[in-house]
Amino acid sequence: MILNIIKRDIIIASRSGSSALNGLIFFCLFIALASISLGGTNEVLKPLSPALIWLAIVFSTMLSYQNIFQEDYKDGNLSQLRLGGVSALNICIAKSFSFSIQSIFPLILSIPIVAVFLDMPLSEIKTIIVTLLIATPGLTVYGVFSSAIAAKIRGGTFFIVLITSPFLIPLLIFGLESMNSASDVDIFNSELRVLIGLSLIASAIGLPASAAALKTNLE
Amino acid sequence: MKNLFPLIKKEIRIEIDGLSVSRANQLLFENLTSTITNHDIVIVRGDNGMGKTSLLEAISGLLTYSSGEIKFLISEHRTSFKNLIAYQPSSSYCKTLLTIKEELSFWAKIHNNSSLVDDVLRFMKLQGTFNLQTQSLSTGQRKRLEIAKVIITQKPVWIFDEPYAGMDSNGVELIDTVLKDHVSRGGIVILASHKHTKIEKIQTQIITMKAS
Repeated sequence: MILNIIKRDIIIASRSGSSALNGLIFFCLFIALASISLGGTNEVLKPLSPALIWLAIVFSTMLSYQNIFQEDYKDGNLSQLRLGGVSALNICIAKSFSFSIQSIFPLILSIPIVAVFLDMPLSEIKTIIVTLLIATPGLTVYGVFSSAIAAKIRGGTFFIVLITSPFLIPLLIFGLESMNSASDVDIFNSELRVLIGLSLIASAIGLPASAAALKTNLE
Repeated sequence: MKNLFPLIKKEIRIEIDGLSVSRANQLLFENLTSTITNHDIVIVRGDNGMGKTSLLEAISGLLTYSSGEIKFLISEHRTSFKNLIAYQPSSSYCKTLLTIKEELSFWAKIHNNSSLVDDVLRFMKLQGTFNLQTQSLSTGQRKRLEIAKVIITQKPVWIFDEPYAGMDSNGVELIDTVLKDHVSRGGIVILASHKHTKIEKIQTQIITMKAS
């Protein structure tokens, strides 16, 4: 059941191409504009580049949160899934996977290219990809949660940004801290372990909470 | 070809008792009472804005009502609406970027009836167009796909909101035959419509929505 929903979402996303592409364009624009405004020299940009990439990814995922449930709610697909006996929790799990695959993974895959422009060393590229992969469940589930709450609200993007930012701040802090203290020998420092914990807590609490929110919105 | 319509042997009853529905703080209708059982065709009539769609949604379990009760019974045992109801709203809920076959197969998998997909496509005369994306379908083709999706659920109670809208006389006849076949095998059909069609002759109940 879950697999079928994920498969369908991916097919639709690959045919429309918009969701992944919008995020990617926003991501690249953000990096480009930030580099220009910071002067564009390597000495200034180099120490800031992990923070820039993290910020760009957080912002561009935040902008795609709105799409997770809104369309399916509007065209009646969510109601039909419920009539088909799919539980709200299963819908949320499926949507989490399809959101990570179509909106976050393309961004992470593009990091090596962006990193070359920012002149990041290879070890840093490696750690930023690892930290972002670990933060992906957190980034995803908070989005699913806020989107489930705002499914009924027209133009709820602002509302979604408002409720997700407090949840995303800890992810941002520990993601960047773990990058700062990462060394070639030990990539699994204590900050990274906290980040893993944050992602696990997000999944454990966020998914049932999203399911509950979705259920009330569908009644 | 095997019969695509579910054969319903158990007794099914929907008991609507003193149902009141309001929307945006405005009372649409109140104290509606009715009992619907196997072989019933219920037609809901009424002017626009009288709450036809709201009534259908309430029976489908998709709308919370302010007071009253709707009971679903299979052989006198209470059950959830999810086990009985297939609901087709007035607007299509097709994903426009999927092809007819992908769309139908998806819902077939959700309802665990994947083996019926090809037969239903053939029955609804969609086999020649199964590779078309649903955004490029004509009104008639889309309507046929909607009915195919209802058949594929294999649920006993079919609820349609304006099934005849935009259909030519052949299409109307096709829908009437499908509904008749379903009812003859023990199914229940509830539909809201402005159009007067042959199905009226065999209806068992008309619910008229009036301003309260």
